[in-house]
Amino acid sequence: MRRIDVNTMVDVGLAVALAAVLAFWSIYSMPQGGSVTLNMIPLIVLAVRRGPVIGFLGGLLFSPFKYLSEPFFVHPAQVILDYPLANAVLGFAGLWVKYGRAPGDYLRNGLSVCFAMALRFLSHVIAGRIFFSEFALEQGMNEWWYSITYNAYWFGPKMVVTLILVMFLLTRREIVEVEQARA
Amino acid sequence: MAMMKNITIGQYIPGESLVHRLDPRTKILATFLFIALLFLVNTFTGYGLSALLLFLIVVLSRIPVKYVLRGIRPLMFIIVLTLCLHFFMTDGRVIFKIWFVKLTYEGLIRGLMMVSRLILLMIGSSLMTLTTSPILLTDGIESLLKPFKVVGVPAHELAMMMTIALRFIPTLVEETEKIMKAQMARGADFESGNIFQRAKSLIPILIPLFVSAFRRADELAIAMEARGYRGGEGRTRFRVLKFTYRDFVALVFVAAFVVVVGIYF
Repeated sequence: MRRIDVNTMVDVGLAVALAAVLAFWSIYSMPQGGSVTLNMIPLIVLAVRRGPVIGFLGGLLFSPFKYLSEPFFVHPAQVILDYPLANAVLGFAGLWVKYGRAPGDYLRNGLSVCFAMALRFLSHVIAGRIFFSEFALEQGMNEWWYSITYNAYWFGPKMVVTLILVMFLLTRREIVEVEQARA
Repeated sequence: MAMMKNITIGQYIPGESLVHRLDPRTKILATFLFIALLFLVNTFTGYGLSALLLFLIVVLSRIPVKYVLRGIRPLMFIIVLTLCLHFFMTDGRVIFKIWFVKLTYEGLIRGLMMVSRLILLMIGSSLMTLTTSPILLTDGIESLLKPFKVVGVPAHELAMMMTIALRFIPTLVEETEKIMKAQMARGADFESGNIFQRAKSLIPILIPLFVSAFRRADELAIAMEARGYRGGEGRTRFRVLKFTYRDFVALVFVAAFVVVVGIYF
């Protein structure tokens, strides 16, 4: 792996710190429990600024903070899917997103952010399926369906709010683009 | 605003106990061994012995039991769900039956076992973070990842980014509060409306927050380069991790315990 330069390192550090701060700040508590946090936004922005590989890295580094803020451990595979992998796949947002204010830009950015979040959702669904088959359900119950409903319930609102806010942030050049030309 | 108040990263409780003073690497490895053990044992004796080991560590670490048990709270819902599903959905010898709800002997056993495993997993993994500060944990992970450098894992860079993140969390919390107050002084309202209205009202916080965070990042990079930072090779440290005989004894003890209990129970 090529060496990570200092500028990228501090960007990752700050984005992870920002994600950790936002993870502890519930902007909305849902009536039946569960809350909406904005911790995905810095990770997506990092992926946009520095590309998908650094985005994966940011997600990986953020996962211990996520684990500490809401620890949930039922199976090693579930932990890997729910924490490092779920956050790392947000890096995919960096594949296509670019700064821009034209309608086409909104569409492209929106779709790629949705794609990254869909991958994250998938990761949570598989983790949930592991939980249900390992610990709970016995015969004749559809684990996939349980896992999808459960995850859609708590992840859905978070996904929508994150998407809206990210779309706003992506219209600001100073947030999306890395300052060039410091020789 | 109130929601920003009690942010503590990790649940670290400072102390001077034997467990606190162990090398972080010892604690990380021991935690992994313990987790492996929980997936090896499948008798009540096995879970009982594992619980005994945890209890011994809790006593040695002098952490109030209250804090240790707090780790189970997020699992409460899952525990109840697991118990119900196992108790009432497993076929086998029926203990009692009311209408269509029946409790079976096999269900009772399996349910209790699964729940014991869940609880021990949670407590086991939180004991490490309760007794080790995040900075030491990062150092420990860096040191454990060093052998993987050969295959291209950037151990030092990862640890450095983690340290930067840990260092800037309090700063960014302060920054967020400052921006919130500034916007409230201009009449912003963050606490009413439905979920979408609230999300929209956060934009005047998020934009300055992100801009200032990335500006800080730029300044930090310049400061680091100005002081001659250029990565892991040949760097010395202020805190040097020491693997002492205590760590050796602790690790051997846990490993032996895991092997014996894992094989026989």
